[in-house]
Amino acid sequence: MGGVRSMPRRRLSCRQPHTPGLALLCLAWGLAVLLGCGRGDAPGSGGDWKGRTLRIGTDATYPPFESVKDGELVGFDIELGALVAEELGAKVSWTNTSFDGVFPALMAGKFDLVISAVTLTPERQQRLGFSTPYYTAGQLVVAREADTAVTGLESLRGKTAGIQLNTSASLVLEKFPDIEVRQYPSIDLALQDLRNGNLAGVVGDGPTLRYFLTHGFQGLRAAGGLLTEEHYGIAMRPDDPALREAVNAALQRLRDSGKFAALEERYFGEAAQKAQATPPAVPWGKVTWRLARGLGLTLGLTVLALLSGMPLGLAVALGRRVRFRPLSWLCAAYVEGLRGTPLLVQIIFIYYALPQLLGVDLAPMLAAVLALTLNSAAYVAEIFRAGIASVDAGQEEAARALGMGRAQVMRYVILPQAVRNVLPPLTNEGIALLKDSSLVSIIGMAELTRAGQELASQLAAPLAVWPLVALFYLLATLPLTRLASALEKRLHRQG
Amino acid sequence: MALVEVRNLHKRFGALEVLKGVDLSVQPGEVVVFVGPSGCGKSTLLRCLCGLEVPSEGEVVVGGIPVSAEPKALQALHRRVGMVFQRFHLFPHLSALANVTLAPRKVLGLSEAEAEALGRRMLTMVHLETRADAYPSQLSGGQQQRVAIARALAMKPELMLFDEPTSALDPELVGEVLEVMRELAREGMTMCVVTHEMGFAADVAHRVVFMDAGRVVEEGTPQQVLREPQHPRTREFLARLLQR
Repeated sequence: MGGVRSMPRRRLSCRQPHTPGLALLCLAWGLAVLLGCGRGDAPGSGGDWKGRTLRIGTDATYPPFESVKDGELVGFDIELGALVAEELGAKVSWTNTSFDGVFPALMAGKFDLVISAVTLTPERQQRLGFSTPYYTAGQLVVAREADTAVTGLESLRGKTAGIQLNTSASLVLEKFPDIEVRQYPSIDLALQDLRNGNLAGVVGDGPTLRYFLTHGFQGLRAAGGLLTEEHYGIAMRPDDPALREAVNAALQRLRDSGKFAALEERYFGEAAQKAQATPPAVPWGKVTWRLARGLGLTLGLTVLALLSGMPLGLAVALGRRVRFRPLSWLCAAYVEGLRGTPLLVQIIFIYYALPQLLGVDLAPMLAAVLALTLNSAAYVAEIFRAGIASVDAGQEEAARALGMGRAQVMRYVILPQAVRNVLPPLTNEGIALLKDSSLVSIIGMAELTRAGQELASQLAAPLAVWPLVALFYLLATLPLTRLASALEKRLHRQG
Repeated sequence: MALVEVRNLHKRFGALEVLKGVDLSVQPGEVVVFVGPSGCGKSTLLRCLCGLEVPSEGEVVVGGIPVSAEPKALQALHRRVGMVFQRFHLFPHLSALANVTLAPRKVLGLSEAEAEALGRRMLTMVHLETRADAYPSQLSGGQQQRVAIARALAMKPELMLFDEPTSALDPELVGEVLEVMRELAREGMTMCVVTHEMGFAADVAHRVVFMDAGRVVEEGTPQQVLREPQHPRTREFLARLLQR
């Protein structure tokens, strides 16, 4: 028995969701462009939105523009989106997804607009359509209060600065090659690293950084004034001029009626700045509840993916053994293909590219389960293959000598023993899948890791939230491990 | 008519020729013991008789069925020939009773109750009726081999093959397995046995076949082959066996 206990450790390459970053965005973009910019199932939406639903994407980890509070989207952009929809006579539905995933989803026709503090840059303007600017912001340098040497961008030369992945801060820093840049998946993590002394400064959007300075990141200060003048715009697909005109007209009416000014005053006026002066205490009850819901989704995804991935993996493992060559080659290619590519890329492919190829729209939940299923099936197939190979050859001979057919030998003699041999690696696979399921946050699934990201930025308290996230993962994996070892003991008592 | 007909059997594994033209016939009810130095091809011959190996050249016919690579014919052959292995090859995840009843249920289509009754009868034949619920890991080597014999017998074979059935056993456990085989021979079962147990060969065999280097060197009654061997290679082999 055994011989399959030490399966190679896996998937190290895609554990950190932020590593593939820019390359991934380019890939998704490339796919979308290659497949025709979403023209397949997302035709120009036209100018008349009365009674229709305006679908808007955002990354709600960016207060005060967009964040999640008590399970609801809140912030300047969220209210702006509601006002624009109201002007158009449309209903509004929001999709909260990571900033990495928001533009590929727009291009794939998953929603009509992106309102997510999107800075107008020449590069983005080439690829996307934009409304007239609705907010003027600029890049700001933040440093530790005690570190008086940092007075602005110039003073960061020869030092290390942190920015959020894929944000326009990188454009500012491009001109300073002697400043080392570290990229973070969300801005609160960069600020935390600054506070820990690993960075000399953080460069990012002024309004959001100012919000964080007054919401939990005491001990940090703005170093100098705004470095640039930047404009936020509402992003849309470039082939939708009617929608652009409608949105621009709506923005103009909001300006004319004074509603826009009132909104600005509420978020960025003096009263608002004063009201935010004291940091709120961490609402543990709400945090726990949000994380528990995230865990529920994580567990649901994992269980569904395992329930369908195990039989599929077994089928693939058996398929590799059939004498019909094309089928066994196909199964081998399946395993190599899915093991040899990052899960994150598979998720993006299935959610963004597959619908364009097949002309069907996949809900995020379905795409997530599908991606996790297909991925884990490849690993499960290899586990079963090793398990089958670990059964003594004499077992098959003895069964055949009794007159059993190939299928019967497999079903009644080989597989029961193989399954018992592979319980430990299967448990590993289950745990790995549970943790890897965090990658589906790129298509907007608010599972445990994503819930943690949102909470950490909303509360400006990453040090309070992330240990709790880890604890929740541990709570989920421990029973799984215990269950597997109990099962193993029971089976081994027989043999 | 002979139950087993072997004509000019050659078996090659790649460049290695293990059987170099074997002729043999076994009559119903006959007990034939194969002896010879290891590597002489006697185990391969047995595996050809039960269809686990297919002849490279020549012909093997068992009960009217020619041994070929054709799966259906092979399966039909397997049903009529029982095989007992040196290393038992019991199914470790099944109890002794379930080991015995698996093939009758799945291959012969017996009901649960019929198979269990049959299984218990077979276990009684090998004196293990009290250990029906034990798993192989809970049985001694001798007990495991007796379960393996019961498992083969449950398929009602016309021919039983034993491939060194006692070689993997501790010396004190050899006797109980040989005793079961003796009883089986007494009841008239046709048996081909590869073994180094010369006492068993002398007592039970109707015929002893001495093989060397892939060929039958000499055959005859136990008296002829074991007491008055004609061929120098047979004498040499028996002399070495006695020295041990």
